[in-house]
Amino acid sequence: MMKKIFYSILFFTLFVAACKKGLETEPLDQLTEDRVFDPADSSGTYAQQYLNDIYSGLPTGFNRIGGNILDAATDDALPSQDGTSIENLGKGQISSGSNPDDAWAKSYASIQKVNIFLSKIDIVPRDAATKTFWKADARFLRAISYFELLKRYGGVPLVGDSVFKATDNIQIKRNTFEECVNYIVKECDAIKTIERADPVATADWGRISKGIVYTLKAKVLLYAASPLFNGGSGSTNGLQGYPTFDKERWNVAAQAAKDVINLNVYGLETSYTTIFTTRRSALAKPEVILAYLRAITTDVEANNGPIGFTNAAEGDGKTSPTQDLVDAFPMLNGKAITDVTSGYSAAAPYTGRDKRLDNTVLYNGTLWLNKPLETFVGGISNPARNVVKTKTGYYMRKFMADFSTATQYANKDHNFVIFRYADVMLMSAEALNEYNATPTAEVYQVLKDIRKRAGITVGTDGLYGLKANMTQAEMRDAIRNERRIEMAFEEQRFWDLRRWKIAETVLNKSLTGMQITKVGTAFTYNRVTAGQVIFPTRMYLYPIPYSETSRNRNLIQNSGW
Amino acid sequence: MKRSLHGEPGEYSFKLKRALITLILLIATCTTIMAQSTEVKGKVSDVYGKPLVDVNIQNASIQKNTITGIDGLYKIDASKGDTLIVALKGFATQQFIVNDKFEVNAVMIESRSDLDTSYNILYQSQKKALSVQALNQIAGDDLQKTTSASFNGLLAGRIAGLYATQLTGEPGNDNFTLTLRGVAPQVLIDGVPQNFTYINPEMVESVTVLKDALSTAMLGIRGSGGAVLITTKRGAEGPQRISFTATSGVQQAIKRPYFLNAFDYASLYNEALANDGRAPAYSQQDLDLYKNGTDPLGHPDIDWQKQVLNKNAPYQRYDLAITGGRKAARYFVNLDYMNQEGAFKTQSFNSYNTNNGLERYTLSSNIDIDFNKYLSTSLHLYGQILNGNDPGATAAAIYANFIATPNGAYPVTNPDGSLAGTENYQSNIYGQSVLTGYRPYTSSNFNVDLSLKGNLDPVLKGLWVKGLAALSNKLLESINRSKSPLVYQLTGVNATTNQNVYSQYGTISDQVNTTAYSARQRLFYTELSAGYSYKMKNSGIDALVLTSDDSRMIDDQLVTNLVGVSGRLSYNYKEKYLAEVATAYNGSERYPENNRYGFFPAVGLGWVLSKEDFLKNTNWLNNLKLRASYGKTGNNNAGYFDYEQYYETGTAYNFGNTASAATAIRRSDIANPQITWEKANKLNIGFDAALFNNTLSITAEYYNNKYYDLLQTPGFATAVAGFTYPLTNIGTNRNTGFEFQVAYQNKLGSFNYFIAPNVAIAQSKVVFQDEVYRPYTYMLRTGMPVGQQFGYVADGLFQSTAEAKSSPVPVGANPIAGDIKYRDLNGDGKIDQNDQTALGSTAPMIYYGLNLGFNIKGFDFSALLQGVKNRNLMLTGNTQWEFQTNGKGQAYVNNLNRWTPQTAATATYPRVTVGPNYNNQQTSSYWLHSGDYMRLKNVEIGYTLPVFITKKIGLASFRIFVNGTNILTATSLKDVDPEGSDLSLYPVQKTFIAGVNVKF
Repeated sequence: MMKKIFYSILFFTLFVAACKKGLETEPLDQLTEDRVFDPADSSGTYAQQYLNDIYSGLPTGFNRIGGNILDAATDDALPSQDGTSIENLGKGQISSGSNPDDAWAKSYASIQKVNIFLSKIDIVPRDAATKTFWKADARFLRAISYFELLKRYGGVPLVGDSVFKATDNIQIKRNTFEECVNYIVKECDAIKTIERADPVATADWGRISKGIVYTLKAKVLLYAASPLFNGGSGSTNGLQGYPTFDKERWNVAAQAAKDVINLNVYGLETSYTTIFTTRRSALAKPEVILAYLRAITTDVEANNGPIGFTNAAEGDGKTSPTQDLVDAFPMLNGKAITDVTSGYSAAAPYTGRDKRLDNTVLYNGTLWLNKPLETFVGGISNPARNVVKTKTGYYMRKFMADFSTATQYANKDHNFVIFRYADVMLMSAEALNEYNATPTAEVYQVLKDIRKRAGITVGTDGLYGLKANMTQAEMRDAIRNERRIEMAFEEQRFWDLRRWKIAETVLNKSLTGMQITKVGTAFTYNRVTAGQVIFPTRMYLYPIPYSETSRNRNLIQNSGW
Repeated sequence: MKRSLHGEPGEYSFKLKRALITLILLIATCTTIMAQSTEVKGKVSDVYGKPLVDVNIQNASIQKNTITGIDGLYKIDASKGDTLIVALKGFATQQFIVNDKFEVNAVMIESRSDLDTSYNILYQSQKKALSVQALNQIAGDDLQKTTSASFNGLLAGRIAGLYATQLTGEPGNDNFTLTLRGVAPQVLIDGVPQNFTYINPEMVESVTVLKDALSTAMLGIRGSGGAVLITTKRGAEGPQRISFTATSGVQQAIKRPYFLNAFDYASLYNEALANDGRAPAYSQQDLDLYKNGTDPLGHPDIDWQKQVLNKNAPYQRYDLAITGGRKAARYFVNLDYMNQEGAFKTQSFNSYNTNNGLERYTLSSNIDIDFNKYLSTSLHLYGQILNGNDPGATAAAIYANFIATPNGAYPVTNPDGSLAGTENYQSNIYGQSVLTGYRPYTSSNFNVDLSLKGNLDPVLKGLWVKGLAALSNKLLESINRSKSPLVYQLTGVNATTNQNVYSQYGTISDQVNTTAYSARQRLFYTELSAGYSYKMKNSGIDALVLTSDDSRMIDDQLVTNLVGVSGRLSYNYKEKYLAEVATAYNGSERYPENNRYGFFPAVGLGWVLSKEDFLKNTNWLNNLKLRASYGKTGNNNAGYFDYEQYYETGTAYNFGNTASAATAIRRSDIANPQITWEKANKLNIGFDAALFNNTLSITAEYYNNKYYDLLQTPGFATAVAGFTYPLTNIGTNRNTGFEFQVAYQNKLGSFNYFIAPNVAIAQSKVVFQDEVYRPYTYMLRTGMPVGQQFGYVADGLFQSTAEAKSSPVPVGANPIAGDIKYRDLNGDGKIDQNDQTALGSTAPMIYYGLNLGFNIKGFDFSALLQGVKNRNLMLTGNTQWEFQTNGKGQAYVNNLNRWTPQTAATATYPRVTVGPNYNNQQTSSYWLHSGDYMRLKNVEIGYTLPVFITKKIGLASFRIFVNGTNILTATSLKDVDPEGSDLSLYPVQKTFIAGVNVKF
């Protein structure tokens, strides 16, 4: 009996043993870290691809907030659709729990990618010169990620070169605004000499160069000198800005902007329109310093082009530029439309205007898709009883290629400009004007150069319509208006209004649109209320996401949230 | 459920009666000195009219036994007044009193509810008397009373603790979510882990729901959720028996959304715009035209659901089952066809079908062959083809478009016959339903199980070995033959040509023809087991050792292997004291190399009190068993190689002078090298009782299950790390509950009836979840039910703007009169995360079912009620709120109860606005409803023709029946079905069918 049992068990055990096989190991089709950073890969192919991915984390624009442009949350435009998330930004309807422009996780993800890259890249036996560029590129991408955090949240935790593990409990404190500025500046200073010289090789177009690093430094220092951060944050802990004002910061900012200018590698392009639709300028001194390089598409036209067209000419008309913006453009003689000598006619409001207006908004009668645009009440691009259509009588034109005589949209370059030379010039003018008691000739020259390129007539006084002998305050307004119209929809004004600390007055009002009525063949123009912007003062800085403050008790929330 | 006796005992023909009387009189006259004892004869058959062999006939009065022969005939000594007991395993035992006719013919009814019969447990069957596992078993026949294409739908309401709920009734996509004691169970068919959605109920002999750790211990790493074990029908020895069922009926939506008509919509839209301080979108003339309907082109009012949907959708099913065999080989063959059509209207101009629907062909056979005394084999073949169809635009997209299209948006067609539409509404719903082509799909499922069993009695009595290989293959092939039409808007009349001018919208595309293989699965499962059972004088043991290898491939992923050894040992002493241990040691390569195998033991004890001397002679108590089990189980919940760090394709960036995407790679989600399976320690205490001559049976269970090492995100998972923290084995939940399953069956003369309620009270609780910082205790998730909804507490509506301005409001919100007021729980003057608390009921969930029925003189009736209490239902989104989808969406009758200064006192809905409302659409108790409901899940009424009629037409049995599923629902919800509450989905259906069943 026992023997039988023994044999049975033995038989069974053998059978089990025979059946047991090794478990399949891991999927070898998947890329592992030692292949990405491979000590045997002298070309560093995968390592470079890893770096490419970090580039795709660069800030970009266009219709990125719930299908709308960021500036639709300023006084420059309104979203045509109701109930998109941009409306929450424009009406102060955000909280630490929901913020459509939250960049916290995205920025730290880029920062961590850079830190991993820096910690691993020395394993890869690519030539030292290339690796030097790569490392500098990575550090720039990290620095600009911090800048994206800085302008939204103020001082944020600086993680240095840390590579975190899944088990790390990172109870890190926020660094002060000053520490963050210093860190970015220090990083820029460290890499500005080792980066590629300008102009970069054709194949490298889009990669980081010296000039880009200089520009980031200038930009950060300009923000640091601006009223919101330069002693104007109202907080004493240093997290939301410098606790006290220091005029010298404007000087530093001005110098940094001039360093870019003095590189003498960038310039204003003669054509304002093609800056945004040309991949790489053929000019010796290009205007675009850094752009987010995208595939050729029709998405900008499809999203923002006027409604009333069909098939490949169909636009969703998502952006409604305001009358307020249109009114900010001067006449061709450079004079504001409020100036009685400007020649502005309320009955023909688009006649004789700054040419940038034509390239910024589409207004009634503009030739578009081979037809005069109809944004008058009942026109094909402003029909009755249609829900999504312009709220202001305007559609956005900027960033689009010239489709005035085409009958449909075609794929074009639309690379979102992050830095361009006109911006640097205006930054230098702004910093100089703030630093000096009275506007210098240098400041005047910047505005004159920009206006000249815009096509404004020089005028008998050679001032392109600018008032002579402006006070510092007058010049400040002139520079701010020039920034507004020159940089419209480029995600500048949204932040400018904040750093100038004027959003609470500029963004708490009704916005106007133009109601155009067609009577026979004539039009009558009537300014109407088109929407509202609301700006509670807590909106000067975004709230740190609740998901972060509840997980890391060392993170102090910004005031008001 | 229990079933009662059919037919009349001692049935005989009049002729025979006369002959017998004559005979008896003769005998009585001639041999008066002879004893009264004589012989009774008769025939025992089943409901097919087929003779039953080896039926035990006992004359209880004189303790004599006999069995029926091959023709079902028997003879036994008996006198008038003696009690005959007719019994056969698998059939309900019957008793007859011998009367002066001396012939007793019995029609045996199949039954699995007798105390003597067994449970189908994992890999074996077990005598009920010896079971200490917590399980419930239902007969396959009961499942057929509910009409549901999806198998899980058949289970609703029948078993305490098993809850099936349905979100949509879309043919081919009507899958139910099944939970057992609050977690998802593993489904097995004949012991092989399978995941078929559609299983033909006709082929199911029983469904066993395994609830505790002991019953699923042999599943090891995948036992935590409990299991639903489907046992298929097998052939029985005897002549060929054929059963054919045909049913036909209709399905209807239980609930459809109540949309506003065009006039109400336009008026309310203007009101919403005015509330936003904006100009009206519709002029008075527009409103008038909508109201009086005189401009059906410019101001239409289209009920799109009426336009494109039929009220009734046909349903048909035909089923043929054939069984029989000889002693050495038995078969069960089943063919089934089901056709569940969708609700879309079709048009004759299409040469193809544009309605959605599902045709299901199922073929199944079970063949058992005994080669000799020692070796037998079983072959189970199961094949299923699901042929589905969808309109080219898909049914799901059309239902979603109902929600996005106001009645007044556009007419159906223009004067020139073209599809109407506008720039904002470029998908004409009518066009979507019949002019977008079609999308047929085929899902083929094939399953083969082959087993070989050796009886090793010569080696050791009671020892056997068995090998099983199962192959299962699933392929979903979708063909896209869709196209997209343009829509046109009439914009005016050309003044010179006097012809209509149209604007054209949308994108035209010609019919495509592409095939996609959207789901591929194959399973190769092997199992080798050995068992030993031995019965001594007072005790018995039963042992089982099993090794299995489950190797499955899903799409292009690497094969997942799950291998291990498991075993079970049960012991009983005098069938009074019961003990069972079961265990598994198994694992998978989805876990890190050093920690792939887990050990999952369980133990159970039972005590049959009714066999103790002190209860032995109580005639009211037939059975009382106490039992308890405790064990550790696993939940195989890791993703695809979560423990290994990989890199994946990132976002390409376009360097260079011409746009060309430079390949990018990035680190995939960060790995958790320590990942392990989730676990549960499960305690179950229960009793089974049978009382009053087995008319009343009660099973009660208490369970206390601790689920731990649950994969959750750590509390410190900050985004500053730059990655999403991996799921880590952190959490602990506890599920406790009581379950009662009661059945009472009895008869009053020929009125047989049963009533079988079941109740489950289930409480879940988060014990630990590495909670993030919560400054107030009311914010804590710990201690709350698992999955508890948190949000703001709504305090009605602001009655004045002054009140709104002086009250705490959500950060960023600017509410005015008519907006929702929230409670500032922490009193800091603002509404934010710190004011979010548990919403709705946190009480234990109560699931219940009530099954009842009767039969009398050929009529039978059964009904099933099913319900749930303490269920919360959040109703939000574009199927509830007005003018969503960027202001273009529908509005609902419910929205008319909005707040206005005039209706302030009675308003049940906030003031209307266009698009999202930042204040009102916060997650709050305002939108939370009681999801309690009670459904009359099904009713069936049948009539079986008397045998003397069926015999004449050459049939064994003929039954006609009508049946309804989801007939009535009691709920406090007015606008939605409590299960299918998402109105943008194809609605849950109620079904009415009539059918006939013949047996021969």
